[in-house]
Amino acid sequence: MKQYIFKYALLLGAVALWSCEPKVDEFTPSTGTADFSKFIAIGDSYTAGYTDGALGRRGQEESFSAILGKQLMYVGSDSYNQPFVLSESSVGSTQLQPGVFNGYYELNIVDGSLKPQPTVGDANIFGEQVASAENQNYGVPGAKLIHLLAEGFGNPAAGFGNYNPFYTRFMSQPMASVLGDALAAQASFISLWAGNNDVLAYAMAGGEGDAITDPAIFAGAYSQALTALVANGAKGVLGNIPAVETIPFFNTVPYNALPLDQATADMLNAAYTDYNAAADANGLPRIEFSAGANALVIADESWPLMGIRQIKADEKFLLTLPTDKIANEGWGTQVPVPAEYVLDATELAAIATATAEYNVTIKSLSEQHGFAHADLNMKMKELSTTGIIIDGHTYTGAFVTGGVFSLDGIHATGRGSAIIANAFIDAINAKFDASIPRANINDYNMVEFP
Amino acid sequence: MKRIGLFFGLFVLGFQLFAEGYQVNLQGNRQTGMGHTGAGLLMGASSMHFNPGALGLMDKKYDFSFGGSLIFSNNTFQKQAPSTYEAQSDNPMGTPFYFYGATKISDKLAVGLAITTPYGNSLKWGDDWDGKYLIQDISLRAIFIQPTVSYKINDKLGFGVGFMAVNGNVDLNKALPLQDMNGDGSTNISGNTWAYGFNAGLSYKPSDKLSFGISYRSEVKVKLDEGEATFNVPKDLYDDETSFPAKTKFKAELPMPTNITFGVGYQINDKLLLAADLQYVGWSAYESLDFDFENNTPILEDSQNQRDFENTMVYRLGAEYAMNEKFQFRAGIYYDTTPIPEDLLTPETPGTDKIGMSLGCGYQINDKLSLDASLLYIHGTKREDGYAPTNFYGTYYSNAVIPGIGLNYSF
Repeated sequence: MKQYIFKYALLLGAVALWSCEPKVDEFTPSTGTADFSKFIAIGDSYTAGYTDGALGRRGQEESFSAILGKQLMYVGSDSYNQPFVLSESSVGSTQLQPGVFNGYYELNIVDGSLKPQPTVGDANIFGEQVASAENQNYGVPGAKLIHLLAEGFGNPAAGFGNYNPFYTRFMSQPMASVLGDALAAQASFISLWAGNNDVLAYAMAGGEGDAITDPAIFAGAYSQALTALVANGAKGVLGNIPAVETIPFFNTVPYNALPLDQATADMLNAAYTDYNAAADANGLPRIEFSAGANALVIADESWPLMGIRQIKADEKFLLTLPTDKIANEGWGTQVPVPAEYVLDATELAAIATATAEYNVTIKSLSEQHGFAHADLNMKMKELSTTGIIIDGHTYTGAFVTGGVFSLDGIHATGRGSAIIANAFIDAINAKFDASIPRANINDYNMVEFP
Repeated sequence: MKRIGLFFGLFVLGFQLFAEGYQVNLQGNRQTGMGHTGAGLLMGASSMHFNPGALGLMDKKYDFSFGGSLIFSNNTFQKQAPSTYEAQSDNPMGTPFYFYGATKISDKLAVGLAITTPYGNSLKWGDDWDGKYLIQDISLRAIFIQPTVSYKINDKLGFGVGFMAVNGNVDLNKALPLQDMNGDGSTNISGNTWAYGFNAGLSYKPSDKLSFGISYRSEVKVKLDEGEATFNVPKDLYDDETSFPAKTKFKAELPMPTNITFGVGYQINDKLLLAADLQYVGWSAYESLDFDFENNTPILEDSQNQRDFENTMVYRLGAEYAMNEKFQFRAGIYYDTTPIPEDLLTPETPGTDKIGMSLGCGYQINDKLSLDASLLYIHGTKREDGYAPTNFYGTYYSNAVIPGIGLNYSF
């Protein structure tokens, strides 16, 4: 009899034990000293969810603000409503032909190598009317900080090119401003990451179009916006402006993207004999070629000698430089690369100075208003230099392969957005003694290969 | 564009360890019931694994023993705070087994054959879990075939040696951070090979009540010369010269470490037997896991993965109580320290200090045949740590329930 009792005891014990998972000490999110009950995000294309060169539902769902909004639901927020694109497609700001706008870029094989190419977008997206009092995403692609205060920023009556059609989609009325609409949402917690385009618009035009916002005007507008936003006691987080050098749009095409053999180099050197004689006479650098990688010849109208010279190692070509013209049309050798594809040393210095001043403003206003401060500049610098190892993979600022930047070379992939969202979360946790769970980077997407 | 310069912490391979880990010793159900003590006991044919010196002192002419266990293991990973992420492994049931057959050729000399599985395990975290770039699932199995000879020097002292031929098999999957419309890429690593070693033991029984034993098991270096790695990546990224080959051979080496065990057994009275073992495991042999790929490309370079394991001790206590002539009740406990240093804890080998608690019983069916059953519960202490080279940190929890059954036939 005894042995049966033992056998039963063993059997029961076994059944009881192998059904039991290890007991886990659960993580408990906490709000700290902040109130996350009503969160809104204000900003530009990053906040909106622009990715792969266009705005579409996929990018909106994986924007840093959407990821942040989702994580804030662990600490008292109950929604993150967005002006979602209704179309299945996407739309960007580049006109492929009159009236035809680009959609998402995708990687295709072109001449045997992978290249990002635009798809055709759906311009009807600009006509979608998705304004809602419940909206929580006030991110407008292309908006500068100073635009956020502009009334009628989305008013089509201003005529094509003079209003922002991404804002038109969700503005409350034609003369509304982004800030005014955001104020009406009566948020308790705000993320404000704006000011990128105050330098980027100029930088993306190769310094030949648009203008850098004067840092004093930037500071005034930023302060005015923030003062309005905190009037009813809201708190929040400010993001600062990454240096353009950290963004692949400006550091993917190398300055010396010109491979030559000795014979071609000799031939080119012969062609620049007169130029070099004049250069020597005036104490200016020569234009010289050798076998191997060579610096391209660029147009620089401020240059005293014929307005052309070779690009310097610390100057930048834009990602949009049509590199096939180097081989096929003599760009950089017989034909100087047009200035719109180049950020020269003067332009880069102007951008760097403005960015640094903007960042001083953002930092000091965050302290003045008791806001958290997310140092995206630092984060991007880290990515573009050492890279960041997260959960088994090393992320870098490299184009296509770095994991962070999408196919437009400026905006983030889903994973890049999650890395940015976590930078915001870390800043908020530190400032408000909160415990918002970080997003899982590996849950989001990177560049999709064909 | 096709020449992409990615860095992958590609090949980090691990396995659940046999001493520490779920790859516990389960090489005899009588011993398992007693906290897996046995180096200091005379346990017939199964001594070939525990202490081949004791085989020479066996009192039967023929002794056969076989059995197996079912490992139900659970691993839970909780990501480093602040995070709500948790993952539970879905480990396939492990099925270690053993077979021993021994006979006395003369009064002094005994020979036998042991087939055991002291290594081998399955761990499955899933294809899409958060640590997928480190490991998705791994299965490792080593079968030891060990002819053994043991000599009775005198009535109190026995010495034995065994030759171990080891067949090792590994198969693992991990994701690669290259995405196409179907999601992440992946790689499969597999191989099978033979390796060799030996064990030896000395058994000393100074009185009817007391027995001692010391046993040594050599390190077995499992060298894989013809492993196969296959890659599943977006279709335009296959290139034998510049990117990923569809498959390539690789070489790798994995040590199965030296074990030295000292054991003592004490028969308090007719009914109660006590045993204690002190087991030393030479894990420091495992310094690094290196993969040497036959077809290297700029993004598929040979990989070195730091391990730097530390030597460990296992402390075991066991008891057997004879209820009557036919039935014995057993219990045991052990404490098993982890060889894995801080910041080198991977999800392939989520090791931690472990406490094992066992119960067992034996039933003498007739004068030749007996049955042993055991139940082992292993509690892994919670460990908050991670693998620095891939920055994957969190808290690992683990436990396992292992019922086992075995038959002995001797005459």
